Amino acid sequence: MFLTRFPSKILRWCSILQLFSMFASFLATASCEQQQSSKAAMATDPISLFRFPNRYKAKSPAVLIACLMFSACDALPRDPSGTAERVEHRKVFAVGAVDPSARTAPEVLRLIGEIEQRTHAHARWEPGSGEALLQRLDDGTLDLAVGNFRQSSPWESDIAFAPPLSSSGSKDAPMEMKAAMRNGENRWIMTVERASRAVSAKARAQ
Amino acid sequence: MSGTSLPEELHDVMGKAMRLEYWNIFWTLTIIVTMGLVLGQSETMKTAWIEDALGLVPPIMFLIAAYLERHASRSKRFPFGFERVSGLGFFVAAVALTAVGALLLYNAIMALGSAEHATVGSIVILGQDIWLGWLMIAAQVYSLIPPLFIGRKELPLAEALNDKLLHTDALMNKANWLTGAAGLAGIVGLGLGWWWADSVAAAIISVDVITDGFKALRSSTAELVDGAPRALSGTDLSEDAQKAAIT
Repeated sequence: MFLTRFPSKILRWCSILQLFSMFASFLATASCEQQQSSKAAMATDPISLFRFPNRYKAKSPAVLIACLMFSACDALPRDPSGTAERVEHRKVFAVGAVDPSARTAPEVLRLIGEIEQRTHAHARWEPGSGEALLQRLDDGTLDLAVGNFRQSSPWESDIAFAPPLSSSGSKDAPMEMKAAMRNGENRWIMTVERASRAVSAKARAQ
Repeated sequence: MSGTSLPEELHDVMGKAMRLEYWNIFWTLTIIVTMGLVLGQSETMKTAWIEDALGLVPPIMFLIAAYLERHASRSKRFPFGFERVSGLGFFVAAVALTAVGALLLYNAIMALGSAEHATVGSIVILGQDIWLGWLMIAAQVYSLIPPLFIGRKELPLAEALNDKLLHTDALMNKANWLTGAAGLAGIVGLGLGWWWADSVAAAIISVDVITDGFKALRSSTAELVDGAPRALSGTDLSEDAQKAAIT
């Protein structure tokens, strides 16, 4: 167990150190795209990443940096309160509908389904509505709130909003159907943002 | 004797210094734009961005002072020329640095005190969802590079011209890697889930801004009120002033 976990721990800490290097930060964007293929390689042969073919030996520092970056892509960001890890571990996340219509809105149902698929967890709908739910979000007792919010909501600095799934209302008072998360839970926020973009053209266009 | 306050033999050096400062302004603007595009909610990024924007003040003040030194002649109204314009520019830069540094420190402490968790979400680039923190890190790294080279080129020119404003700018540019490292640590810490890292890094950067500003304020005030000339790199008396004091 230790032997299998040890290399990944070294990689993770090395990846944190390499974040301070210039090359890593510039190349990180490109390396994320290759992350999936690296993971697939590791699944079949866990130490395949440590075996360098001869032709790569002269370039081993570059290959090492690339390997570190692959793991760095996955290592950051993490949540201060561990929301994403908890959802992954307990296989459940708490959702609240800020207004009753949100619970049955098709775009919301698509979003919840997408998050469930991505996290392998299921949504547990919580009772309550309005500001009470947003306060629970801020307190950390709710993972996700969905509903119609004003385009420039007064809650903007207290909670994090995902890209809007759809919009309604007049030009003077535009409303947006979107998800809200607790501020600073950056990995969880990214998951919801990605899911929003996956199910809504409007979110993708934002 | 020159009609302006700048000796003839220093005109070429001054020309070089002015060209360098134009480049300095250009590169600083690219940094400001790059950092501004990826600011997000991070206190570190905001503080570093404001610090970079403040970096424009010394080269602009230097260029104004240099223009006056080269082109403004002595007159009845200004019988001593415009030799003190540089000192005035130095003073303005020092006040701006100190005041903004204090404001940034206040913001960082308030964010730390109220346990603000900065949200850094994702952005879509070429169809890929990328964590904005990666771009912040790239922007921070980019912001380190131009000042390093400009600072190195500024130092000999500042010494040749004995120009305190240029010298302070050179030292600030050379020391910029420290604030850059603090900024990088802040963003990486934020990525690791250490919510306080963002505010702590912002506080460290703002303390550095205040220190720079305070040092510059002491020197410039002393020279503006006709104190003995200070050394180019600090608040101690210059060598000439020390010799004069002994005799």
